[in-house]
Order: sequence, then structure tokens, then C-alpha cells
Amino acid sequence: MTIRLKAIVRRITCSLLISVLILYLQGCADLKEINNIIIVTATGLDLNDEGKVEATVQLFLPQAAASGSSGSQSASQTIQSSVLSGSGDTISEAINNIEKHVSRQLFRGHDRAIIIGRRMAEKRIKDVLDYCMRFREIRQRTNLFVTNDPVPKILEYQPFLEKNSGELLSKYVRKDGNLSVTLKDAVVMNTNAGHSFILPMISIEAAGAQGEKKTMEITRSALFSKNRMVGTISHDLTYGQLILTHRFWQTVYSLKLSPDPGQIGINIQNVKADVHAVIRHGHWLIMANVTGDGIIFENTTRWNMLNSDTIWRVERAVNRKIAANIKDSVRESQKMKSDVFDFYPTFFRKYPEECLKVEKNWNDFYPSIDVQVKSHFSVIHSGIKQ
Amino acid sequence: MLNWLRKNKRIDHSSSKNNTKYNDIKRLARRLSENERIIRQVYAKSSDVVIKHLTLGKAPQIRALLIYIAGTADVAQIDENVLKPLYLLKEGPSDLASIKNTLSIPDIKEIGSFDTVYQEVSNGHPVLFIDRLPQALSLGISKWSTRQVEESSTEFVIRGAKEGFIESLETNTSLVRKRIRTPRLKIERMEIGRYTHTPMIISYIDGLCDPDLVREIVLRVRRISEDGIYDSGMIQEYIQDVSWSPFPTVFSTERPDTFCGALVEGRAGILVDGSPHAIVLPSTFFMFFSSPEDYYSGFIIGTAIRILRTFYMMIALLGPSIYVAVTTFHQELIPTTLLISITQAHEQVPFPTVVEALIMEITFEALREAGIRLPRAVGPTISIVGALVIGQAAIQASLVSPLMVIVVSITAIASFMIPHYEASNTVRLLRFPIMILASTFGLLGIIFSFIVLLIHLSSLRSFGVPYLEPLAPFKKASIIDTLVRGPLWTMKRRPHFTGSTWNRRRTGH
Amino acid sequence: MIMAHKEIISASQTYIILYLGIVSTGILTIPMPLYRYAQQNMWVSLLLGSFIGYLMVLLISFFRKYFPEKNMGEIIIQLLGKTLGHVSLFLILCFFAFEEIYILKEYQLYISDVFYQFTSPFIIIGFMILVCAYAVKNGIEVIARCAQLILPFILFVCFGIFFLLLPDIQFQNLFPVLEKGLIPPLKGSVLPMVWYSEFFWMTFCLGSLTETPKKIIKSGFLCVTAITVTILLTFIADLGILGLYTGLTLYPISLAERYIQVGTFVERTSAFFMSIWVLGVFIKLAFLSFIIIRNSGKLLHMTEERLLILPIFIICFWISLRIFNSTASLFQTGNFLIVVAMSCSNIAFPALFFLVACLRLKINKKMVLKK
Repeated sequence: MTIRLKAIVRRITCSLLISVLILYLQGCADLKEINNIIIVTATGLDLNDEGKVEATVQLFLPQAAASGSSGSQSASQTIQSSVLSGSGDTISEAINNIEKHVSRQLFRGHDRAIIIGRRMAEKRIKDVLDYCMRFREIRQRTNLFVTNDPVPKILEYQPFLEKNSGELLSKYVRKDGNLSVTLKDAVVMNTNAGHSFILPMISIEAAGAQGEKKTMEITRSALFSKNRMVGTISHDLTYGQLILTHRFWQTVYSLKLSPDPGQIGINIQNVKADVHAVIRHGHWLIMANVTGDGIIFENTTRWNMLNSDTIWRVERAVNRKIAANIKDSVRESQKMKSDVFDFYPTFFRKYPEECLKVEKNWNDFYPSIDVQVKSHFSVIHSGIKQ
Repeated sequence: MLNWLRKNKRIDHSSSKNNTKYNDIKRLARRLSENERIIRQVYAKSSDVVIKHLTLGKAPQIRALLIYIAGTADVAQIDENVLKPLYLLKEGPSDLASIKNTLSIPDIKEIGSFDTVYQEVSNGHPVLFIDRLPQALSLGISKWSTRQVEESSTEFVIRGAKEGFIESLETNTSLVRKRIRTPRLKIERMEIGRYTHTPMIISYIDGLCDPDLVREIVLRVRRISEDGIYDSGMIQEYIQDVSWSPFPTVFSTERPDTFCGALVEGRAGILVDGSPHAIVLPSTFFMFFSSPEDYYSGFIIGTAIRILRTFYMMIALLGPSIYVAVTTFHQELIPTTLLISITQAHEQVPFPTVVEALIMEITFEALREAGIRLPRAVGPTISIVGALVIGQAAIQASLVSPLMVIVVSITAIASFMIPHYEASNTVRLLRFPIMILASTFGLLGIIFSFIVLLIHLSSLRSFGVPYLEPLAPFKKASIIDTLVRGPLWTMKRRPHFTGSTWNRRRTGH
Repeated sequence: MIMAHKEIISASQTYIILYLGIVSTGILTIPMPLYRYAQQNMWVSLLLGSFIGYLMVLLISFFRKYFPEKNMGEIIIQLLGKTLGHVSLFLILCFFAFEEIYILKEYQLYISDVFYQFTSPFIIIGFMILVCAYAVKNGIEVIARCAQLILPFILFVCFGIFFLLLPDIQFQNLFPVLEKGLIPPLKGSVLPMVWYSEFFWMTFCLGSLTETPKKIIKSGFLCVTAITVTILLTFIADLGILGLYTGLTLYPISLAERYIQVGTFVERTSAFFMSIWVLGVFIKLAFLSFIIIRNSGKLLHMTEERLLILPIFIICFWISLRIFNSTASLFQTGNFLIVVAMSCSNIAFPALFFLVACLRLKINKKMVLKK
């Protein structure tokens, strides 16, 4: 009896397996043959004059590159990327409209940069963040940028060192004291009480002297508050924000020590900020303790850099400069009511109850916070010359 | 097990009366002429059987008969040690003992029935009949043509013994005896094959090997009712636990040192006459992925090589599949620059990636298979053509992308890194279904085929021992000798299937 | 195959199965709902919830001690009598089947959501069911061995994610501690508690264990602690990377994991981690379906339970294609139902059995004393 039943079960299993195998061909649904995709290396989003979203994508052209590398020697001169635009009421519609024009499926897993036009940033930045976080192909490491220039122009820009502007931007932000904000950073900052975050602004600088090439660089930083872009601060002042949010890497300052006509070039690195929140008699105060190292790169003054008095003077000058920079940048941001320094979480960690009271109107409360900066820089090297 | 029994129960239709004359268990007659008549009848139409009449002694002349098969008996020895002493006899011998004393041969057996006569003659032993005696003497002076002990052709090592088993069972057992010099080494002899009567031995070390294991092996070997056994591979197929598995569950080796190592671990071995491949039982998964050299070079190097080997085994199994899955489903996994060069290379290729991969893999397998059977003289020519066909020309004709050639060649190298030939065949075979799954389902397909493999491997047993033994089920004591090769002094325990007897390898430490 | 033998597994093997089961679904589904309750104190909830794990281990050893060589299915019938025992076993099995379907859906929706947008659920679930059926056919021993082999992979995923994210984790996101008191984390601890209560499943293979109750407790406590540590690490990764955003995304660990970047080589690795994660889910489903099939065989007094594999899996397959067909329904209704089902089958019923067993034992003792 059981043997017979077993045989029946076996037969049923076999037929089921075969039918599953046939149905299994459905599995191909997600197949993206490499000849059928086109790699998007950067995306631009802006609003056009009618108030519609205009999306621009920078595409990598495999065929141009293939012929370029095997045929002519001047591979660097063949243009490997192309730019396409489309518009729609929403970002997804705009992207979909682009997709309608091309024979291949847009593949956005290698998107390196999302460039947001000024108008988009001022009005509909929320759409950008929502779309990018929702769409599974876009990575959270993608860098965000704001630009005053027309977005297609940025994407069309042919850099002279990299393959395309997307790659250029992703490498560029990792350098020096540049502000680098990834999609995740922006979104996480945006969840704080102030709903404010900061993005780097890029623009193409016209060629200066003859023979020089056009460059694309970060010029200012855009501040956002409550899903709107509220203003910009200069590149220098951004250092203040970077230092207080522990993201500063290194940069070079030049100092002038008053009586002497010469100057000192000093490299600032290993900067650490210790940020404390204090509420004293209803007075909200941020106390920042900044420490760091300095390396002297250049000295045209008459002083000897091995003299501890000179070093002390240099250190004092650096301290003053950094402290002033931080204070200035906080003040700027307070003017725009954009808490890009993450002061709310800092206070919340220490004074949760007080913070919850002002959480609702934090942006109005934010300008009233005072900042005290103590900076202690020490010069650790002065080069291999006296 | 029941299934297995049913399958192998073949009914012998040929055992009619015609056969009875060959299985005559009748006792020998006293009269020599009667014996000669029967033997001539049995060995009719056998031109290589030599039947030689002798007369022994001068005074009472006694007739005698010597039978042997030309080419199996040592003619020089017959001449020197049998014929000469017999001719020199003064008087005809009256009993066997006196003849035995006359002949200067150590291995003389008295036999009394016809079937033993046939057996002895087939084994190359000349048989001496004496008139008026109902017994014959089998003289152990066989001489089969064998080759010299040479280096094993499939299992090379740099460091370690260069000897390999050969086709002669006697030489092979002597190679084993040479390495294990203890009376505990048991060598049980059996004969299998209804017509071939192939001698085989089951070898184990008394006290280390589980007696149940030996009993089970004997039981399973007895059940084989094949007409002829020509290689241990045939026995292997009959005695393994699960026949429906691509994985070999019986380990075979050509190296005496591997064989002896296994015996000392408490396993049992089978050697078959005419086959240079010995079988080791029970065999576990990791035996197939370790080389004797791991133990001879230091444990740091041994471990490093094992890790490398494991890694490349995974590549041999999954390499092309991962390539297919990643380039057709998960392009985001590839670094951007690499993806760009892949797209460029693939732009001119007319096939989907999976077809490309299958073409290349099958071509390579064909080349490899052809390479085994190539006559030596044309080998290099063909390999150059092959390299050109699957390499240079295919790329230039835009049939395949250069990256695919790299993947296929890495896979090929990886499959040669598996020390055991049968295991490497398994890996080669399994590659194809996984590739197809990967092409329709991406990484998820690979993972599902991986799961199926895991379940299958965990369900396998070799003579009752779980196939993945020290890893799953986890055995802390012997895990040191699997994916890594720990220092020899840390391997204190034998694998657990040795039972409780003599479990510790050494005292001290 | 030398001799037909009883299936024997060790306690540590079962604990590995449970570890894989709890961790693999726990790291994916707990954080989002838990964050809503406890915010950055979700780790407190986890620690509170882990107590039920320790209790469960004690319970397991209790049943092991007083009902040696018996599975929970047999114990239930012995404790509650034939009718009541069968009814409650049936109820428990129904809950288990629902849990199985829920896990299947959870797996399928995650896979379709994040990776295979266009592949039909039929295929995704079908494949999983096929491999589970194959595993169940081979028995608990094979499932346990697979679990042992899979363990390093899952450990690699959990710890790999944590250590690769370590440079980006902002530990200050974990503070302030308990700013609203102990109530919110306490409320939230229901969720991890439900996950830890899966230890009850182990009682259904008590008969195959060889260890003494003492050893079961020891390795069990170790297992609970290991689970807590593993999930804790992923919580820290979630909070440290995403902060407040943890509560806004469906699969925080998946989102955090997408942020991994080491050099320019190890980046965008989520497909890789996902496929390894599937291994853990497979073990959980295979174990659960093994329990369901083994015990429904008992319920129907069948000697050959393997015959049930086909019908039960087909039913599960059919139902799982019908219900919770959107993430919304899974996270809204499904989450609530699963908490109810799990707390019934894994907490309420065991507590009941424990009480009955205690009473019985006391009565028996008195009887013995009287005699």
C-alpha cells in the first residue's frame, strides 16, 4: 500500500518538477543583458520654465569607446559620454520620458553624482530625496550637488583628466577640504529637528589664460532648511561646518604675522572637534574645543621656525583664524535658520526634555544659540629647512 | 539498500549443464590417464596450455604430468627447480612428501579436486600429477608479465614517495607491507567476477579498523555478480552507498603512501588485481581535496595551499556562473571601470552572455577530453590549435569577449587544482546546471543551487560515515585536518569511525 | 547506511538552526517597527526581550528532564489527554503554518522589492519551497548539518556588515539613553520577545537529542547571548549609519549595508549579501516545515510522514501566493498577525503546557508519597 502510494507521490513530484522547470523560464524577467543596458554615470535634475521637472542623464557610450580604443590612438579625444534630457511632472516621469527615447534600459547602479539645479533646490528638493531613496538602483553613496549653471551644461562638460563629469565629481569631493555630502548624509541630516542640510555647489569656471582648460569646481555651499534651499555660504566658511561635524580633512592657510611683510603657509590637519552643549540659566551654549596639527609649508618671514616663540605666535594666529572661521560660519547659518551643524542632536543627547519643548520651532530657536570656540593647534613640523 | 539489492540481482542463465564440466568438484582419480583425459577435455582448444609427460626414476618408472599455461609460469624455474631434480631422481617416488622434498620450491600446495586444479593453473601455477596418487601438486612459480613500479600518473607530488601501485596485486600488497610493518596489517583475499576470478584483497589494520566496517565491505563485495571485474572502479560503483550522486563516495588512489595513511587512520582498503587504483573506505569529502603533499611540506604551507585549493575549487564550480549572474543581473556589483570595459568588449559579441559562456566551457571540456586521447605525437600541435581557436581567433572574430576567455581559463586552471581526478570531474559536471540557473535567476539561482548541493552533500554517507564528516556533523578533534592542515602533533585523534578502539594516535603531548 | 538508525542531532546543532533562523529574519524585520517604539534605545528592548530566550531554554531543559526521549508532540498528547492534546497540537501546527507562510512572504517581498522587481513571486517562493521540500525529505539530520555549514556564511554577513561599516558608524547616535524612561523600550520589547520565543520550536526535536538537560541549558544560554550580540551589532550599525532614518525605511540593515564601501572595489555589494542572507532564511523555513510535517504525520497517525511533504507544501505555496501581496499589507496586517500567532504558539501554549506538567508532576509525587 505504502509502496504504491510512494510511487504515486514520486510520479506527482516528477511531473510537478517538470512543470516548474517549464515555468522557470519566467525567471528571466529580471535579466539585463549587458548589451541591453546603458550605464548612467550622472543624473541632473532641474525645473524648467513651465515648472516641470527636467531630468538629464549622462550616458556612457560603449561603442564610441570601443572604436576609440582600438582604432585611433587619440582615445582621450573621442567623446565617450552623451547627455539626454526629458521632462515630466515628477522626477520618475521625466526619467521615464528619457527612457522612451533610447533603445536600451537605463542602468543607474553606477550613478556617481546627482546634480540639482538651483530652481529645483529652492522649490522641490524633497522630491529629489524621496525619489532617490525609494529607487532601488540608486546607491546611498551617490554624491549630491547643487548648481547655478544649467544642469545639462554641467553634465556635458568634458573633463580633461577623467572620463566624464560624474566620475570627476565623485573623485573631486574626496579631496582636500571639500564638502562631500552623499545621499544618505543628506537624508539623515534632513530627519533632524531642523530639517536642514548642506550641499556643495558646483560651477564651471571659464578658461582663464590662453591654453588653460575649463575646470569644474566647488565654489560655495548651499544650505537647506525645511525642504527649501535658503542660501549659500562661501567655500571658506564651509570649513567651519566641516570641522564641527568632524569631517574636515586638511587644507592650507596663509598667515600674515603683522609687523613682518612676509607670509607663512601652513597646512592644517588632524583636526578634532569636541562639541559640548550647555544650557546655563536658560541660555543655550555650544562649547567647541578644536585641536589639530599644523605643518609649515612656506615661510617668507624673517623669523626662524625652530624658535619656540615664533611657533607660539604662529599657533596663536592659526587658533584665532580657525575660531573666527567657525564662529562666522555658525553665524551665517543662523542667519538662514539652517542648523547644518547638527546642534539639535548635540543638545538632545544632553538635555532631551528641554529639546523636546523647542523641537517644533527649532529653526526659530536656532539663531539664539551662542557658540564658544577654543582652538588649540600645534605646529608639529616646519619642513626640512630652518 | 533494498533497491540496490534488487538492481544487482542478475540471474545467470548460462549455468547450464555445459558449464558443469568447468566447475567439477570431483576428486582427482588415481590413474594418471583418467586425470589426463578429463584435463585435456577441459582445456580443449587452448593452445597455450602445455601438458608435458614425465617419467620419474629409473628402477620403478613412474609417469607424471606437468600442466601449465605458457607465459604465466616461470619456464626457467620449471627447468631449474622442477624438471632437473625430477630427472635426477634415482627411484620413482612413492608419496607426495618425497617429491615435495625433491623440488626446491618453497610454495607447494597439495590439491585434490579438479576445480582447484583449474584455479591453480589459471593462477599461473604449474600443476604436477603423479600416477597412482589421488593428489596433485601446485607449484607456486608463476611469473606474470608486469610493468615496473613507476611514479603514479595521476597523482603527482613534488615532495613525497614517487612509487605508485601497478597492475600486479602481489607487488601492490608488498608495497603496502613495506610501509606498514606490523602483523596487525590484515590482507584478506577474495575472488570476484564469475569468469575472470579476479583476485582482490581487503586490507585493514586489526584493532584500528571497525570490524563492522570490514564485515559490511565483505558483504557488499560478495553481492557483486558481474561476469568480469577489470578495475577497482567497477567494484566502487557496486559498493557505494548512493549510486545517484555526482560525487564520488569512494576514494581511490594510486599512491601507496596515501593508501597506507588511510589504513593507519582506521579505514579499510581494497586492492584489485589488474588495477593500479586502490579503494579506500569509508571516504569523506575532504579526502578528495587533500593531497599527500599537504602532510609532507610544513603545516603553514600545507594550510596555505589548502585554502588556495578550496578557493579555486569554488571558482571551478561557480566561476563562470558568477560571471554570468553578475554581468546579466547584478551589474552594480562590478567596479565602474571594469563594467565599462566589459560593456565595450561585449558590444561586438552576438550571443547572450550565458550562451557565450556555455560555448566556451563546452569547447574547453572537449579540448580537455580530446587531449587525454591524443596520440603523443600530435599533442602539441592540437594544443596550439586549441589555444588559438578558443583564445585568439574567437576574440578576433568577436565570437566571445576577452573577459570570457579569462574566466574560462581561470576555471580551467582551477579545475586542475583539485587533486583527485574524479572529484574534479564532478565539479566540471556540476558547473553547467549552475550556469544555466545563474543565467535565469542571477545570484539567487546560484545560491539555490548551492543550497541543493549542501543538502545533497549532507545527506550522503560513505559506509555509514557522513560524507562531510568533520565539518558537518562538526567534530572538534578532526576539524584541524580539513580546510586547514594543522600541525601533525595537534591531530591527536583518529577520525571517529574507528570506534572507541585506539582512538588516540599517540600518548604524551 | 550500515544500519537503519534513529536520527540523532546534538543540542548545539539545533541551537545553530535557531540562531540562523532568529538572526536572519531578525536583523531584517525587527529594526523598523522597533524603532517606532524605542528610538535609539532599541537595544534596550532587545536586551529585555532576550530574557524570554533564557526562559525558553530553561523550559526546554525542563521538558527534556521530565519527559526524556520524547518530542513536544508526544508530550502534549501525554499531558492533555488524547482529544485535547490533538486539538492543541493541531492549533499549534496551524500557527506554525501561518508563521511559515509569513516568513515565505517576508522573504519574497524583500527579494522582489530590492532585487528582482519583475520576477514573479511564483518563482521566488517556488524555488524556496522546492529546496525546503528536498531538505525535509532528507530529515532533520541533514537540515542540522546544512545549518552547520551555513553558519559561517551568516556570521560573515552579520559581522562583515558591522565591521565594514565601522568607520562610518556614528556612535553618538545611540544617545541619549532612556530619555523617556523605561516604558517605550518595554513596549517595544514585545517584538524581540516574539523572535526569541522561537526557541520553543526546539522542543519538537527533543527526542533526537542526546545531551543532558544541564548541557542543554549551558549551550542554550550561549546561543541566546550569541543571538543578542549579533542582533545588537546590526542595531548599532543601523542606528549609527541611519540615525532617525531607521524608522523611515522598511529594511534598515539593507539600506545601511548598501552604504558599505571599501576602496573602490568593495561597493554596491548588497546583491551578494542578500544571496547569503537567503541561506539563513532557508534553514529557518526548512526547520519549521520539518516540524510541521513531522507532527502532522503524528496527528494523522501516519508512519511515512514524507508522503505529507507534497500536499502540505502545495497548500503553503498556494496560500502564500494569495495573501499579503503588497508590502503594505505585510507590514500592516501581517506584522500584527505574526506577533499574535507567535505569542500564542510560542509563548502562551508553552506556558500552559508547563503549568499542566507541573501540576501533573506534583500529583504524581503525592501519589508516590502516599504509596
